[in-house]
Amino acid sequence: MKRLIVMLCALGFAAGPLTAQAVPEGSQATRVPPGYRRTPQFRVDPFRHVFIPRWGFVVSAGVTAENNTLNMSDIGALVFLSDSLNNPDGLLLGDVLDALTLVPRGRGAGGIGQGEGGLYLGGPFGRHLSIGVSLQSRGYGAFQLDDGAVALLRDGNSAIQQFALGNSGGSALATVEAGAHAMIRLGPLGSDDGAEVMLGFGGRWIRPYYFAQGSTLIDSRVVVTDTTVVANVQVAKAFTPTSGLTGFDLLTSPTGSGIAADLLVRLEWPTSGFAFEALVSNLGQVTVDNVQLETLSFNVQTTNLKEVSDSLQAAAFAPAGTGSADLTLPRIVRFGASGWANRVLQLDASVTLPVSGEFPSPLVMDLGSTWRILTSVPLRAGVILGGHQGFGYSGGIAFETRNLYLQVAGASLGGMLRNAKGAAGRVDIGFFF
Amino acid sequence: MLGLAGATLAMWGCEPATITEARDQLGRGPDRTLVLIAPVTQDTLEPRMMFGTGRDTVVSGLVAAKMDAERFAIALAGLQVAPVTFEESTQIPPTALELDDLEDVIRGSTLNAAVIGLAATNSAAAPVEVSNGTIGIVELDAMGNIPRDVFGRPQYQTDAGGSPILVPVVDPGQATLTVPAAASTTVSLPAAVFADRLVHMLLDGRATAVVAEGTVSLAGGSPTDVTLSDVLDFEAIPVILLDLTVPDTGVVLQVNRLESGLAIDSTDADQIVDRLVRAAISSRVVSQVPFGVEIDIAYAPGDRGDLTDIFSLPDAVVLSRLTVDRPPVDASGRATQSVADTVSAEVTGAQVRGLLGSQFTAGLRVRLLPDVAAGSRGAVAATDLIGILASVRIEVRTGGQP
Repeated sequence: MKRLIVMLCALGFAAGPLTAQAVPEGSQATRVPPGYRRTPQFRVDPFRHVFIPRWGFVVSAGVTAENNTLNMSDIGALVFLSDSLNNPDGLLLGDVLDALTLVPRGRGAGGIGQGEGGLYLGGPFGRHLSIGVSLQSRGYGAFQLDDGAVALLRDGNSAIQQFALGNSGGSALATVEAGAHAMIRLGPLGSDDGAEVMLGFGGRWIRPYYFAQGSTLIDSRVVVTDTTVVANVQVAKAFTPTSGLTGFDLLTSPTGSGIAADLLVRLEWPTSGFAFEALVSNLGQVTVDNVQLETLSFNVQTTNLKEVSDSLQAAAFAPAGTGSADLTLPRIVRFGASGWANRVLQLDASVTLPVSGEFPSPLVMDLGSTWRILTSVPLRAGVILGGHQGFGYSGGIAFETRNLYLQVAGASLGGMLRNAKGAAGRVDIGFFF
Repeated sequence: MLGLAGATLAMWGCEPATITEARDQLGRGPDRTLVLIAPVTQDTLEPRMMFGTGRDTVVSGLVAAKMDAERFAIALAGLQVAPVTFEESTQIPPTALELDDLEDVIRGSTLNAAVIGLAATNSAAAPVEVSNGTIGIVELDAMGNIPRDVFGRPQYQTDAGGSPILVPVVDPGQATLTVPAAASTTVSLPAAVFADRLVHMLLDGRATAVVAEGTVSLAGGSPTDVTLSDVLDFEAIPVILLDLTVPDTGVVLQVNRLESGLAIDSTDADQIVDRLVRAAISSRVVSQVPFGVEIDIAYAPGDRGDLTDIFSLPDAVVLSRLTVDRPPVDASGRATQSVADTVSAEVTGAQVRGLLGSQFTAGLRVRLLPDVAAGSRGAVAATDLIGILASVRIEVRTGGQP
């Protein structure tokens, strides 16, 4: 109980002086190998597998996607109404207006998606060093539809007649990455009960194979009054052409590359059952060559909406050249803490700071618990706060044996199942020699 | 791809079983009223633009119709022995005057101001004088001939007193017109009554001819100064000003305008009507013509053509009447400022349905009302106009489904 209280204080960033103590018999520190003490996350984590307890390889895949507007049932309804087999009339204007009503006022529609999957080969060299190499594919996506862009059809033009499209846009990037990561363990410092310091560092060589980006340009706006309709809209899109490409050609067609660095500092007090860590990842840029740029300029001033509709249908993207795009990878800065409440329960908390740039994402906090009723079969349950969806649930199960590691985890974001506005899933299978 | 997504969502229990269930799902958002205000019809009646292309002009700040020039030449060789009597005529086709939307207004009004710009060119080496020169109007008979009295003189159109409507061809303040030797002269001949009759005859489609007659004599010099080839050329250009006297009951112009609707698909439009909370149409008029104005607006879905009386159609929506008084006028009868009026009326879903299609026909009926106490007269300046605007305010329910 004392441990639990102290740990909660630590989670609340109000930790007082800690007293070193002997490892309690039956505590998690004695039951759980160090390699399994770091609870896996759904989010991108380049050091995920550096902690594996033995030499081996891990096949893993994970994806997270969420938005702030539509839940699974909404998407199901849109698909249902759009399907001519179910609804010959198709999706009607009123349905679209209803869907726009779901866009949070003042925030606009936004969403993110991230995924990764690949192979990792590595393991520990003694007690103080772990190294590994990885071959991964990663994908990042984000979109933001400015509140002004939807306000006309959501709120109407009774109070406001001018609608700025703001920074509406979206980006998607898919890469293949070859990386090497290492972790140095130091300690315990001071005494047998002292902190163990883990320093992780690594880098990845990144080759992009797909990139697309669309955005409204500065000062795009629509004005609708009782006398006139004025639209000045400029949209630019950039993309790597994929038409006619399949398989390996798709991977090799776009040229370009990038380097990303990852850093980790983790402090563990095994006898006290605490751990703190700070992770900085994706320090670097990716240059995507052979990016085609097209722009659309739509300017109309008229006295009726039909002319706007006609002009919009006639508007077309025009080629604006080919070049390179320098992309800043979504920089991940994450702080985490974990503690063992007792021999069964481990609690984790982490905060991933918001990201700006091409792949923006809001601040998100993961609160998780790991239940080791059976030492080798941890059960996980938690909640996720923040992000685009506000509140989510997570759960998972793992099998941790000497030669095999298997984890399956999932999350329902923004609600449970049908009410979820996002989902996350992760599978890790490790084989140890 | 859509089917795959649908199957996946159905497997998860996220896809609805019926259209109603799907619509209710999308409508789960907060109960809101979407208010859209959009233009319905706009029209600007500019009297200066109502005349035929290339024939509109401005005289002393007033709108005027400048008709095509009429030319004739008188051979002067006869002056070597005696004065020459001439009679020239030309038929004016009804197409010579194009009044477009203003036709009904002119038909019901009296034109109070017009001039004939007359340019005379004398090629002889001696000055000549035109005496008893007149310009008049005749209605041609069925054979296209000029009707004549027992003395062989043209039977001119007459005024209310029975007197022939004739424009004297004279120098200002003189009884005759003198054209210097080998030179030209230009005179402006007041011709209000002449122009009023001419315009009304043309609007009535009557066969109309203008007849010029008179006598040319030497005003000095010697008959030997006149050669066989000498002529006296006349070019007459009637200019009719929009200085009107309208009857006490006013004059009406009615036009149809084909307008673009909101271009919403038929099924979508039905759904919008089902969701309608309230709809209102607001009409506004801004007038700067020297008359009071009453405006009625009606619309009906689809293209109903130019000649259909929209107001009499069973599916027409007639909006509330707009009325503005005559604005203040200056000493010349010209409006010195604009006046405006706005009315708004609620319409039903069925009535607003007509605006949601791709097009509808708006009928405008504008009645110009005189200020009887001020003589029922007004002069239309080049800056005068009647601006009409109608907009619709549609309130549609969104969200709020169970």
